[in-house]
Amino acid sequence: MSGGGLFGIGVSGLIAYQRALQVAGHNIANVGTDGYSRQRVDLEARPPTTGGVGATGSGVATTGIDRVADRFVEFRLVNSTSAEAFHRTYAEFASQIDNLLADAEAGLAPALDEFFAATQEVASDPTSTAARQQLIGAGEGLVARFAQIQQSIDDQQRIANGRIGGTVLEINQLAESVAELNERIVIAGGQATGAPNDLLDQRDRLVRQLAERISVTTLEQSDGSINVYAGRGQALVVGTQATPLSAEPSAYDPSRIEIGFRNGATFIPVTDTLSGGTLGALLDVRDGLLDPAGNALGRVALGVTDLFNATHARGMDLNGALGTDFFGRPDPQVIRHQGNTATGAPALTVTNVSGLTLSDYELRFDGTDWNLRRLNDGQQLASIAPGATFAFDGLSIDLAGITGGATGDRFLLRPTQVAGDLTVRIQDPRAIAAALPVRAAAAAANAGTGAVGGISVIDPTNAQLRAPVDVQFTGGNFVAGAVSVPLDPSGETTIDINGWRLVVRGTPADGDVFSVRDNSGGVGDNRNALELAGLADLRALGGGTASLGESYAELVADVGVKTRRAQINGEVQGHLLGEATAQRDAISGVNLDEEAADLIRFQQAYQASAQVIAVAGSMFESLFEALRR
Amino acid sequence: MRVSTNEIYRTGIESIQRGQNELSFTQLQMSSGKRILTPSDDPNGAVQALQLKQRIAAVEQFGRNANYATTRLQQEETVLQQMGGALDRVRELTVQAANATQTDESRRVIAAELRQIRVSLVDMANSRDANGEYLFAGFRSTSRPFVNDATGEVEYLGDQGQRFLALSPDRQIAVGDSGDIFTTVPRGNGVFVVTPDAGNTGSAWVRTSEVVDPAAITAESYTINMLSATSYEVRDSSAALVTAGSWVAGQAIDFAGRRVVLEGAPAAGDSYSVDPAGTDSLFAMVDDLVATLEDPAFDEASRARLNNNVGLALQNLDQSLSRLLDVRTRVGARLNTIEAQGQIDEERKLLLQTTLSQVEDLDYAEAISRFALQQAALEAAQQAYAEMSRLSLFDFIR
Repeated sequence: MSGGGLFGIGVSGLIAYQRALQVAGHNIANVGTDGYSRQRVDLEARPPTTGGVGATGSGVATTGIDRVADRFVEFRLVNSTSAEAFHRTYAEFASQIDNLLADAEAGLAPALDEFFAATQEVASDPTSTAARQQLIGAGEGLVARFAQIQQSIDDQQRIANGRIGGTVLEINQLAESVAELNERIVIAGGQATGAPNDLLDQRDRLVRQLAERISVTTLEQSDGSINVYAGRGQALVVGTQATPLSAEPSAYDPSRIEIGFRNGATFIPVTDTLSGGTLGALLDVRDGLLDPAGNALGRVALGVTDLFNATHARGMDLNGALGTDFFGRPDPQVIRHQGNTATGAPALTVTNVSGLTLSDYELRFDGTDWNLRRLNDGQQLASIAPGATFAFDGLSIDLAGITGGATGDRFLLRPTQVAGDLTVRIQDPRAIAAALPVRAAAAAANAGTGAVGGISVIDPTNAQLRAPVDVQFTGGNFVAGAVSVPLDPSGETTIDINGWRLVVRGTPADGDVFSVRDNSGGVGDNRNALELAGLADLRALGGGTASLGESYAELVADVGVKTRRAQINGEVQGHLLGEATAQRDAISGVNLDEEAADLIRFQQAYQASAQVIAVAGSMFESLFEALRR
Repeated sequence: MRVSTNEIYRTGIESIQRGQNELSFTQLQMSSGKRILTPSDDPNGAVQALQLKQRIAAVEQFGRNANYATTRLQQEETVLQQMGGALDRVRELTVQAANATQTDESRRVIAAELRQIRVSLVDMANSRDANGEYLFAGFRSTSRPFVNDATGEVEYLGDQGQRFLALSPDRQIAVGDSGDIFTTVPRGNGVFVVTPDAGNTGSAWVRTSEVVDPAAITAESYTINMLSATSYEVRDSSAALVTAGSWVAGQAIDFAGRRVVLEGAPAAGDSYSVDPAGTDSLFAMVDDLVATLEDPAFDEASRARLNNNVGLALQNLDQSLSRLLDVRTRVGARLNTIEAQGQIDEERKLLLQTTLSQVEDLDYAEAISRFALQQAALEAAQQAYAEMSRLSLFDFIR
């Protein structure tokens, strides 16, 4: 063995531990770096020299600097990041609406209560102008409250759309950066100097940032680059090439953002396929929370306006005129697609509020017929021939207004988006129709037990409504002109003439007369006001299952449950993300105590190697000394 | 398991933040007194609270309706009571006028007082409520319902409309009666009226007219003809003979479920028509009475007429009084119903409020102990963080 070998061993140790100290220092320096994976020096005994006595060790060599990371843990972290961001963003938006809807002052419920209380007051005191004025005021308050809640929903829509656009830009920038890093990693890897650890950390971090915005899957390539896919396999990054997403105004509603890929002049929408992350949450909030909330609010609004107006029309005001519309409301929305060849638009009318759903509808031309589809459950409702009419879900559509049409032409129908634009039409307190236009009386000379059980208006448009009619009981029938109604054995006979319905209870004697007269001058009559007040409890919505208040409560419950779910899921995903982060940190994170121990260990090894050199040196010294003598 | 330095700091900070979050939520609950701060805290409870509040508001509104109804009905009751008092006086005066010691002159004095009472009866029927609405006008509640027509008779200009108020979603109650109650009072005994023929010359007068067999009553008119001072016959409207017999003063003549007792001395040829009673207005009845009393009684026939008319007037007055009593009973029943409903509503409201409180109000005992626990947890987390962050191997490497 020569002294030179020992020198070499000493030097190899010096170099190796210098490198090891360097790595420990790098780890310590990056203890606060986000996404940093700790690095380890790989040491290996150098190949031994074989001599007469056998294999003799020749020192240490650094074979590489390893990045301590686990790909599967990283996958888990990426997925948890998407899920957590999704629920956090969703809960953030949902709780805004949630707070508003059930607010004791700002919610709809108190305004609805006040309105019907004011109606009761008019019923209690029909000749009081103050009570009538109060009803108009309460009606305006109700309309304003509808508008205010709709405005809040619209505001959230605008914010969501704005953030969708911003998030798409961020996703594009991140994808671009991943593509750039791919390029640098491929080049670094190609130089065979070992994996570029810090670049890999950076790329992982970018992928996590992408995942925070949208759910992604990654696929590692043999050259070290990764491909990134979003949604149903839409490539965001392939190798060194990033494909930007495009956020563009919807062809139905320019304030709505659609996301897709642009291929030259063609726009391929992929909005429906994107999920997860902030972007997924924003799309879900917009389409799955805010739209249905607006529709549900609109359905309550349609219920209030149409029911109140219909009952009001059957009444008579203080001037003796029939009731006019109390509330004004916009027509159901029909939105034309910008790409349509067809001109004009179908007419959509509400025929029966109890049949209304919370869904929007789409009308699409297949070259022969227009196909009507309900959007919330995707059900195909009908194929309607051009120019025909069709009744569905409390609505009626008339296609006569559409001219021409090419395959793929379409219209979006939003029947319940009305809550923001209601008005109170009646401004004159005298114009509130608290009375009925007709009154009925049994003649004083009647000998039988027949009594008037009540009179109601069923068709206020009948021109003869207020004409005087005498119904005489003759030979077991109630007779008036051409009308003859037999006595109902149940003891309650219903007689419909001229748009009114008279109910006679009991059994009249032959020749008894019941007269129906114009009620003008009947200013103290509150029968119609009672009907109006009764609407508060009428189960008129959702196919006759819910009153107006209950229907609104359903909306509050729906948003509350969605918010609650998002909050709970957000918490759960937060924990899972914490666990995934902890798991990653357990593997890849820097522990300062560990590095401190390593520092001491490597320092001592370095010092020892230096000592080896000193020993080798002193060996030479001894040799020279001996030779000099 | 390896623990990275970042992990130590992060878990420390996270548990502090979580502690602060929970503490601030509990603090908000305690300062508002509400368990549910936003619907998402408990969607089910929030909706329940919303519906309970709506029901409480509705019960309160129905309570206001009941107050309004009570006021109106009490006003109506007062008016009816006053009118009853006035009619009592009319009856008293009538009985007085029927006394044989009265002269034409004294009857005229009584008639003068009756005229006054009649005016005040009309005024009372025209009573208005606090809003200036006429109580007994039906739906035409802003115009005066009882006015004199060209002949000086009281005419009813209102209608039969009756106002109802809602006491609960499915219970409505009438808060008044139309003026019909004054204009459709049955005459006589309520079934039939015996009227002496204007040409009668005898002094017989109707002492009693009553129903003895209600089952035999039909809406038919009859005539009692005195064939002589001691015999009579009864014929129906088609002149068919119903019954006949001999007669002495005070003898009951029974036919078709009716009984008529005549007193005095009828002349042969005198006749009495027996007609279905029909109805008349209370005011007209008083008018008739006044006319009777102002009519001088100078001979047998005119005295008989006076007796007859006063007898009929007393019957009419009893009908009027009983009509007023009927209506007052009805009004009283309505007031009772309102009061009963009010009690039910009070109990219901209490129950609803209790339920609401259970749903949305905070259990302070629980909240305070929770607050203390969360505070301890937060302090512990902060303490642990401070201790952990102090530990470093570097401190020992010198």
